[in-house]
Amino acid sequence: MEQQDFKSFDRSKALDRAGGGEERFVELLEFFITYSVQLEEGLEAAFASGKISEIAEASHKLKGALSMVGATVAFHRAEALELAARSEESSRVKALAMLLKEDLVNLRGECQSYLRG
Amino acid sequence: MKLSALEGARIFVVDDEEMLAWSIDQELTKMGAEVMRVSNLKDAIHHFPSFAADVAITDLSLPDGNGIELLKKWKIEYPQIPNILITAHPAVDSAITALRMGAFDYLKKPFKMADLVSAVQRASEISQLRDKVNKLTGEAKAADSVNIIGSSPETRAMVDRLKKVAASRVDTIMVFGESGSGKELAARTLHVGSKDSAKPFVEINCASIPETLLESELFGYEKGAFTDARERKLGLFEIARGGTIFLDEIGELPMKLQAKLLRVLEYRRFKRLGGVKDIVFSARIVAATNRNLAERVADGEFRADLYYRLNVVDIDIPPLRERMEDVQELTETFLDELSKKLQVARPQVAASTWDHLCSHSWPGNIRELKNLIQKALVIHEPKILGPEHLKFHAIPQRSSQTAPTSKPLLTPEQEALRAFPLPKGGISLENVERDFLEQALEKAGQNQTRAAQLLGISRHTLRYRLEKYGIGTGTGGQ
Repeated sequence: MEQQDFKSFDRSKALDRAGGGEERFVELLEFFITYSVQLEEGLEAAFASGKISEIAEASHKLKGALSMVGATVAFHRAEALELAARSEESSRVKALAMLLKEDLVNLRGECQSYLRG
Repeated sequence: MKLSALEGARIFVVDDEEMLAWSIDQELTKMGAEVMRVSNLKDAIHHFPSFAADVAITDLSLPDGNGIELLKKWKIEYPQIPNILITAHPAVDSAITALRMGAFDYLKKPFKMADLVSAVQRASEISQLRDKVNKLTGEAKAADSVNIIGSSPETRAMVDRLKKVAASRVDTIMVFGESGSGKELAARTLHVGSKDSAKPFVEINCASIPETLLESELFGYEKGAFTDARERKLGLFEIARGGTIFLDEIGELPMKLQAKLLRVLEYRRFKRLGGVKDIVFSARIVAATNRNLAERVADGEFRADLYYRLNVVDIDIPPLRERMEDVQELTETFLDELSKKLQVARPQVAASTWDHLCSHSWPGNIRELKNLIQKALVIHEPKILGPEHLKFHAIPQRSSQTAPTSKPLLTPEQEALRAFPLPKGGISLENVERDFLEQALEKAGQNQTRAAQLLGISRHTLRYRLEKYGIGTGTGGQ
């Protein structure tokens, strides 16, 4: 895949955040694929617990990971989810979480395509 | 700034954002730093003291508490270690707030890795400058802190040699000496007089720890390296950080570890048990033994290659019986020190005590003398210390199963001495000594090391006596 086809990630931003070159970027994406699954499971567990503070914490972690790979749109979604959770806006929380999960699925797909080259 | 600016720097990272912590680890490790990362407050408090960091990077929002606690704690306990704060925490919205909390620098998340690297390099430079200042302060104090007691020619010569070797760039030194003669003090003197005296001095007795434990004590292990390895442990080679590692009783090092130590010394790098990463070390190695290592090499109990690798420069600590002139000074010093420590009145010393003390051969050397004085002070609390307070422990003779009247068993050496009865008219001891020195040199083919062994004295003492009698120099015994 060419760099310009890489839609949901900002490659140069990711390299700014993580340092290194192409090799580091590839490792970062590999890390993201597995780590984002863990974080998503954490978000689901937070919803299952019904504790809004845990949802805020889980979205905070997702926000950090998304920032590292330069996934700007998903990053802002996670940030909005965290803020909504902290201000206990339940209906907004649910809607944002659904959208974020879709973002994550798409991002992982895009990562895998990139890695397959 | 060159990449090598972080070569060997130790960076401690506290952040629960795993991708960020991983990226920091990758980037700094690439630049030659040794990175340890933890993800919560509890682990940070637990691991920080043993990691011996040059720089800390701390996130404020941690799952089990607030990083501000760490900042405050470390500012008090480790004021010399710069701490870089990284956070998106709303309570820290400016560098001023962060610096007031005790941070060296502050980066607001998300930040560029290059900015963090610059901050770490600046912090590392500050850390190195502080080390240099400590080193200079340490050197200034060194002359006072090295306290080898004694003014005999043997002791003065030994101290001179210790100072010369300490200040040199030699990275492995062997110290030979009988038990109780002060090998550890010699090792400390070598450390204090070195250019890296501000760095740690770590020591281990190779004879007192089982082989399996000894390996992990020396080289550390990774979490999961074996069943009980629940967390990473640093070994002495890592903790020393360019200081001095004192390996006491090296002659007892098991064969397997001898091979490993040789490799480590050759390549100046090692791996923790269960680890894959090479760790570079730059510490000076001081190894000591009370055994005749050359003999152990000949017997196949000590690797010859390791013997030669360790024995780049050797220091012989003369036994106390070869420097009896020091007994009085040592006794007076121990009386001062021990009476203070034990809170008893400092006794005067009866004149007859000196003859008494000088009549003993001190098989336990200085340690024996110190213990004897301590015992006298504790048990007798004398106003005047006399021979009656200083009873020597007789070394048990091999018991004879025959009649109690039979003569005590003599060693081959004692038997040999009986072959030279003292003439009625007496004899000059100096002439006897000179003659024996010449005989020993002749038997040893002028090799001083072998001649010293034949006479049961150190090579250093032999040299001193050869000079005293103006006997010609030999091959030096190398």
